[in-house]
Amino acid sequence: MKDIFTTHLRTKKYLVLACGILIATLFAAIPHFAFADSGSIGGRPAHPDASNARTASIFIKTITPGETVSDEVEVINNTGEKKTILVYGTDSVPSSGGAFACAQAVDASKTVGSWIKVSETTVEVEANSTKKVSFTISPPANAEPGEQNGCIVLQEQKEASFQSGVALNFRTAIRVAILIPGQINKELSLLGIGVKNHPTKIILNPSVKNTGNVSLDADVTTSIKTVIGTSVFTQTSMYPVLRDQVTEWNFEMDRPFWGGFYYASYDVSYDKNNSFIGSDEPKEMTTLHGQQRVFFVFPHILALLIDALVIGAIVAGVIFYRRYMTRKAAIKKSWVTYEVMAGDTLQGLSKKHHLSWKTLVKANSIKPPYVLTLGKTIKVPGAKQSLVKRSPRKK
Amino acid sequence: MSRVVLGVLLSAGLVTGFIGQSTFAAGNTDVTQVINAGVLTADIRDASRVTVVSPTFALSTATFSFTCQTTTGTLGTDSQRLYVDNPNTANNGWTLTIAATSGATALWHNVGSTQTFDFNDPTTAGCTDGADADSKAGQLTINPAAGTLTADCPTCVVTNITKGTSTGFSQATTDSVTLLNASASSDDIGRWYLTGVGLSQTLPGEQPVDSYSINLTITSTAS
Repeated sequence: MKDIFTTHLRTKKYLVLACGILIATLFAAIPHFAFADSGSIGGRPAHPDASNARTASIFIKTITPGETVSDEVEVINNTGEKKTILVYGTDSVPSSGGAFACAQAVDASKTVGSWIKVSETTVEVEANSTKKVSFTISPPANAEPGEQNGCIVLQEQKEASFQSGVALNFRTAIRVAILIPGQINKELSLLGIGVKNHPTKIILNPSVKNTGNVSLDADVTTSIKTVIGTSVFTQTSMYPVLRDQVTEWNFEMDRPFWGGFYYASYDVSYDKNNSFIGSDEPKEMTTLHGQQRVFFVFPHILALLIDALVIGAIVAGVIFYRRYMTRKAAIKKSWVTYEVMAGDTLQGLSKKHHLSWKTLVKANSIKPPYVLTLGKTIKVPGAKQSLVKRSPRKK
Repeated sequence: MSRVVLGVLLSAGLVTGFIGQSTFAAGNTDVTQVINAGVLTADIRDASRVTVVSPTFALSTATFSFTCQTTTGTLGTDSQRLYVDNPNTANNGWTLTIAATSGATALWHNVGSTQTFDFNDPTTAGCTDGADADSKAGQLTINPAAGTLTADCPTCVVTNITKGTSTGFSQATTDSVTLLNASASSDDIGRWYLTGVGLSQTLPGEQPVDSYSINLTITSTAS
């Protein structure tokens, strides 16, 4: 019995020890497990040009046709795991509304995408680290002057699997803007502004067309004013407008509570100077003014109720006032004069002439204590002629 | 005695765990802190900002019909938010666009791709096959304007970020739909999420009963 008890106790001690060591080991490792899959991957230009702030975000190059330039993209893995990342060049494509987008990996490159050669199309980047990948850009000898755009795209390599519905993949891209030297034309035309009414908001939809051969950074100012010129909404934003593209935007404002007629308008300013993106050359700003557009906003239902109440109160007030004046005039037509005699009282006279004593008081502006003055001539509204003792005629 | 030994071993294990996490300063008093650069990125996260692996969005279930019909869905819900992070990476604006991963010739397909229908044929509002490269009907329309953009950081705002217009895919005309377009005036450092983007798919008549899928790629581009 004692041996069994001792053996049991020893086993129990070993179990406790093992648990303690296991807990300690896990405790040391937990910080790594918890953040294994957070963070993201992406990239940025590895060597931005200090004289052009835009190059911190996108690639901007001026390349003579037939020439080759090289650069690097910094591939960043901010996750807690080693990642296999695809790096490739594509053409740019216009997205709806003229926004900048990049062609898909499967699409054959016809322009800038075919000029870009990446040294490594599949790179492995350790967790929380970066890696520079070099690439070259070689416009063909017959590349036309002006701006051409493409993309450097970074995308995690993943195996595809069937998922019912809309299955989403994600990637990050960096615009590659290339200027082929030659005549630079900057031309922008305004196409008008649309207005869309929604239950809770108004959407202003101005649009422009870039008919030049380079993209423009356009300052777009949209505004809404009341019919008397009071500004209710103004917003200024700068957007790139790509060459050969119609670009439109949707600016939202809260629907005006009271509704009514409003004017919508927009102005667009851009640098007419024949310089490329991000250049520090002096700007020659030019502003185009769009046509105003009148639109009606239906009032909020609560505003309609308040309007109805106010209008109703005004109409009721007018009606009551007219009735009062009409009644007053009628009373004035029917009253006669009467000389107060001894013994006459307000109550007596009003009873005699089938009136309210208050009517007599009001007609004659008699103040409290409402006593009639002997010999005073008073007005008796609506008195019957046969019951009234007229005041003596003056000789 | 054995209990004492046991206690010492247990304590040693716990101390080892603490040591495994601790950083001891060197003999001098320098302490360094490195903050790595972030990246412009988009993904799907839940309400706790945890990334959703392999996100999918279902359209409403349809019943077999001999005539053309439309099903709808929502891209971006409270449990699957479409997030965009710009940690000072794109300092002159960015765009968020969506397109078919397999390009303009992509199709909705079942397992094995024995049954398909189109996503970018606008003929008769997607009800009949047009003169595009395939012989399939069907059109997918995405409506970002119906969505709600929310700023999700202490100092960022949604001002200067516009939502795209409701747009149907149309082969060779509209192969990419704009979800968001951030101007140069938008916050260089910001985090936002988009919910409630409308999805609408035209199903051609007599489309066989099955589960269908289409892969779309969302691209965040520094512009």
